Amino acid sequence: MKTKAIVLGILAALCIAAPFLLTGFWVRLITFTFMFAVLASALNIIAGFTGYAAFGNMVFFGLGAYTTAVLMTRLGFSFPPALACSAAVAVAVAIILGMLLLRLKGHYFALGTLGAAEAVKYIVENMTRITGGGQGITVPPLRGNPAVINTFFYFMMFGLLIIIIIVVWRLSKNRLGYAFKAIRANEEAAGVMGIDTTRYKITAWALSALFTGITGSVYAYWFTYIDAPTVFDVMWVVKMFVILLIGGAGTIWGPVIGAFILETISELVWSRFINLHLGILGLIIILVVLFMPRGIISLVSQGKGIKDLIPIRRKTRGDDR
Amino acid sequence: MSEVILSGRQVSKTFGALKAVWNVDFEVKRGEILGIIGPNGAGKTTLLSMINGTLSLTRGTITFKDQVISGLQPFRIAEQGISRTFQIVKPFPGMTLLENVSIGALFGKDKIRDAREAREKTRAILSTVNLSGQEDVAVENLNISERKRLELARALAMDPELLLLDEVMAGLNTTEINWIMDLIRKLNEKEGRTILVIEHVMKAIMGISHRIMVLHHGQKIAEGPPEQISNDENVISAYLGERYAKRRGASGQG
Repeated sequence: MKTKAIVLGILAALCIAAPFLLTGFWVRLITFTFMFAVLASALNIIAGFTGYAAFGNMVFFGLGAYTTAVLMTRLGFSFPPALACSAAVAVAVAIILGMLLLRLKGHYFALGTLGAAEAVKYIVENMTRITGGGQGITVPPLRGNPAVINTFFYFMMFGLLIIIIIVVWRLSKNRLGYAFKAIRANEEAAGVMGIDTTRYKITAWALSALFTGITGSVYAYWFTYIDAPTVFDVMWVVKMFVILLIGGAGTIWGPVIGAFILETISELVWSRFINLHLGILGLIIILVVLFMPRGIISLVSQGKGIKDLIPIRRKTRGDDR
Repeated sequence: MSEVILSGRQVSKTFGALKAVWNVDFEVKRGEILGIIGPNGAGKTTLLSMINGTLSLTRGTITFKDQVISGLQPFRIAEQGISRTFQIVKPFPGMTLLENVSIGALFGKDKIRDAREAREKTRAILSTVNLSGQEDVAVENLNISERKRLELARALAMDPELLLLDEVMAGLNTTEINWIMDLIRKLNEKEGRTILVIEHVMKAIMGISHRIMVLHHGQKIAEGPPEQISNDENVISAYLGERYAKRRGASGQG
């Protein structure tokens, strides 16, 4: 327990010191990694804990980004209230879509969310007056020294990551989290045990959307230009799922570890073998799914070495929760 | 003691053309153990599922403590104080035994808000079902007897007034069956819980039930105290066939 605290302390100190020691390229890369860790952790709440593969989660990212962009350009909002509105829009849409879609199960739910996300994308794209349509929209950028701006967004994403880790950590031990996990394990039995499954599923998705929407808002302010094909791109959610798979769904640290591994590998592979990049990534995913079906986190949580992975039989579930 | 806690009027469930349960009227009195028996496919589990809301009724009403509960969602019925076990156990994998059972305390009738408090309350229940010392075991690693007791513990953690037990003894050995029989009696006598129990182990259900209801092809064919049921012509013919029942009748009640 104590070593865990020390390790976390050192990591936090390193993360805080990093933007002052590293070059802009690395700071941006780590900021990006933090962003994916937040997105994957948000997906983890609905997909990992509650067991609903929300394949359309990028809809909240896109809505968060567009809400901020539109409010700041068209209505002259400053960033903080725009961010709050992004969060509200994402949550509201999650609740409405949840009431419609969360009665579907398994693949049907995944497809339903994907369909809804595409629909929202086309609506946004066609509200040309407000959203700028296919031209995209340019957000008033943050003015100042690029190094300072980089550091600002670094700490925005870092702060979000800390908050979502705390939220997920609480979920792993509290009443709400138990409800999510019971729904994932067996929805019928969960209902019989007195759990209002519909309400808790919607809560899980709204929580997931909240963080996804906020991240989208920060992304818009950071990148200063967004268009619908980019922010509503299905590749966002594919990446989130890959991170979740690599790291370990339903755990606290899985998405964080997964994000760092994926980003590191992508960067290494991308820069050397630009043609083979996707192939190598695919191979890694296959290996992880075959030998570590519960993600790399299972190595840590079970205190096991690579050797122990050979018999794939599931033994104990992660006790890291 | 004689107040009716649960009653059903013309309770029916059809699956397509199959009448799984048809026009069954029943009453359960507070503090009673009512056994439900019947050959395979008689509609016992279907009836139980309709009581706790996992299946909807095709026709009829079910009333619990003067309130109509048929048509409510399962979690609403659970909140009113009805809990059940499943014949095919449904543990929540990915959680420890203690966490599994504490869900009952968190979301059942008592709705304890604090997860830690729920876990503490749960420890006592684990000792009731003889699972103490296994709090942190992953539920995937439990054997069938332990799983059956987990199922029972989860239902008990909800602190039910009415407990629906669906074959909690199936797959257990004689010692374990005797132990569970004692436990059910204790839950009934000491804790005052009304219990509705489905069981195939005749010795057990005849031993613990105050009253027995027999279902056959979805209909109620007999009801009464265990001694009377075991000599009932209709029941014997349902279980062993009409020819056997006739022969038995001809040779002067055996």
